[in-house]
Amino acid sequence: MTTDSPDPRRPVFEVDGLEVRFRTGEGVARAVNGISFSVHPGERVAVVGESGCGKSASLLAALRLLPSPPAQVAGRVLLDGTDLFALNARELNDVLGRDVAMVFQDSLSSLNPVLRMGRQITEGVRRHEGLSKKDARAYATELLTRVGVPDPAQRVDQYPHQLSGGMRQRAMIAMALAGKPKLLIADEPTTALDVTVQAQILDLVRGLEDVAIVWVSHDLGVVAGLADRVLVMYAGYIIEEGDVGSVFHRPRHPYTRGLLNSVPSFRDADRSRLAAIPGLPPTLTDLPAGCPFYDRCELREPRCSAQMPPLTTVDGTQRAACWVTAAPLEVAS
Amino acid sequence: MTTAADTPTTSTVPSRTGLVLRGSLAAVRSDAALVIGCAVVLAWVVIALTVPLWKPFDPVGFQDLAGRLAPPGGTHWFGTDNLGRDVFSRVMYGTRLTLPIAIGAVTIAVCWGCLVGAVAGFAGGLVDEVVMRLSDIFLAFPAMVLALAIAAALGPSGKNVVIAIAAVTWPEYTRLMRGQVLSIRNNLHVTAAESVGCSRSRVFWRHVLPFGLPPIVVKATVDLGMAILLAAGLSFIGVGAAPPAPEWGAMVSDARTRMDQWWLGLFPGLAILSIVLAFNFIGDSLRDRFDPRMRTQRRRGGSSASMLRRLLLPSARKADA
Repeated sequence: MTTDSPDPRRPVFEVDGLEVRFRTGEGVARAVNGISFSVHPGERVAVVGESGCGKSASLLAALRLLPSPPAQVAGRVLLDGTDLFALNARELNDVLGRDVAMVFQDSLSSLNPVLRMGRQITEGVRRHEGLSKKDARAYATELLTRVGVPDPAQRVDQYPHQLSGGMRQRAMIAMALAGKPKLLIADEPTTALDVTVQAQILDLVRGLEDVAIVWVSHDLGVVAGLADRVLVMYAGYIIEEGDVGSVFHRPRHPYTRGLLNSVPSFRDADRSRLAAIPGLPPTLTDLPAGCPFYDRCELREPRCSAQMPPLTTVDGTQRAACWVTAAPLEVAS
Repeated sequence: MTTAADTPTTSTVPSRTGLVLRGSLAAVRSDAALVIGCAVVLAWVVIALTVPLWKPFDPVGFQDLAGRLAPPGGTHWFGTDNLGRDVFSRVMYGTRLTLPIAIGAVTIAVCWGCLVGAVAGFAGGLVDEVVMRLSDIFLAFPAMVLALAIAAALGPSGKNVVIAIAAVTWPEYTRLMRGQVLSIRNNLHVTAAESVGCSRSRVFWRHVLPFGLPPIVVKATVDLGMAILLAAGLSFIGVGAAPPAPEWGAMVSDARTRMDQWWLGLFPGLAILSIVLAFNFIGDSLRDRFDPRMRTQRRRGGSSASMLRRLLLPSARKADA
């Protein structure tokens, strides 16, 4: 275990110019197009966007978990100062699970159905710290207790299918926390759960200290209640980022506004139809040269189709990639 | 929905969820096939292990030239052959040749084939390409012809039959295992295991291999039957186990010229038939258990029963095609 980083302001996770390409039958799909962001110790960052916008792909690629023949990854990823793309397979295995861990959306298919929970939870950490079988089992029980799984001593010897969905997701979190990571990446961990269980999981995550969290979601409500900072992704670009408060109340990018407007609200329940953004995201194999949101944007101008706007600071810590919006946009609800 | 509960479940495979057994008639039918198959195989295994303890006659040494070619009767249950040897003893002793050959050949083919296939699936690229084209070359030959060539080149002995059979069967396991590895490594639980820092070999042994095994087990079971058939075939042609040995295929071959002495060929033939069919029954039932989706295909005629029907009734083959 390394000691705490001396400078608390040094980012624990830095992604710089990350690109992910997939070779497909229709051509090269540009899934992630040069995104950069950083996460500071203890910070909770949410990544939002619709399906296929590159949320999961960018994070899986950053941890080198995308199978490499179909995916081509470029850029630089620093985890606590270590360049992940420069590590060999063995060094990477040392880092994964110890310094960074991941929680996946579908807890049933991301757990090995033929391994008992205890063994599974401590699989990584046994390698990292050389725990004995007995110690590992005790540690697994302790972790299950910590994430609030009832009856941990019994659950530790059960198989994934014997646990409920909520318990499995807790167990997944326990598995991720086993190596005491500095960074936890959660890929839509509550999407498959019902609301009450979702709330419990969120409470659990909020209670985690000393761990930075990157939370991928398309549930803006969850994000508002959990994250400090939010990244909005569209067609493989980060198009807006900033504090949750500022982004949600004063979005600068028309897409962010559209996203927020499309959240159903109790206040205007009389409105018969849900506000939707017209059109569809561009095909990833055929991205336009300019702003990918151009075709759907209500504020578009000629220059938007000519060149992709850079992510520029608009207000304090808030940054947006839009040529048009200098002033904050209004949100309907 | 209650049929499965009412049926005594004498399965050798513990069904963890019980789901596999639920309901359909196919499951019940498959149960019966499994029981019959296991019983027949078990009987032959017991015979192979215990025959020296209760052997009626020495299969090779006992030669009653005066009583040669005697029809089945009280002393010689299956009659005697042209050297006056007891056919019953020889058929019983045949298992001690046939079973080790089949098990040995299939074990080698499974281990080697799976290893190579898994490596190809995991490594990809050039390694994959070379391995798969190599297996294509082996698959391009009809199994019997290739086995015959190898066995003939190496000389007639049990060991060489094992080598020949393993050499013609491994590519199928390679293909199967490679396909399994390719699909399983995209499962989320594999990514999850990688994300906590499991090494490549651990991911393979723990999180990929166990999920690739069910079709391998099914195929290996059916192939045991096929290996017996191949071994008998090679002996029949004369490139298998050496002549005085009581090998079923060789016995059938000897009987060819003496059709009047029907007992010479009938009993070893029945022995081959029973054990090959038994392995097929087991393989079919296991497949149904491991993969309930296959049951629909089964109804369309993939089972041993329909295979037999197609073999015996040419009209059924046309109907199925």
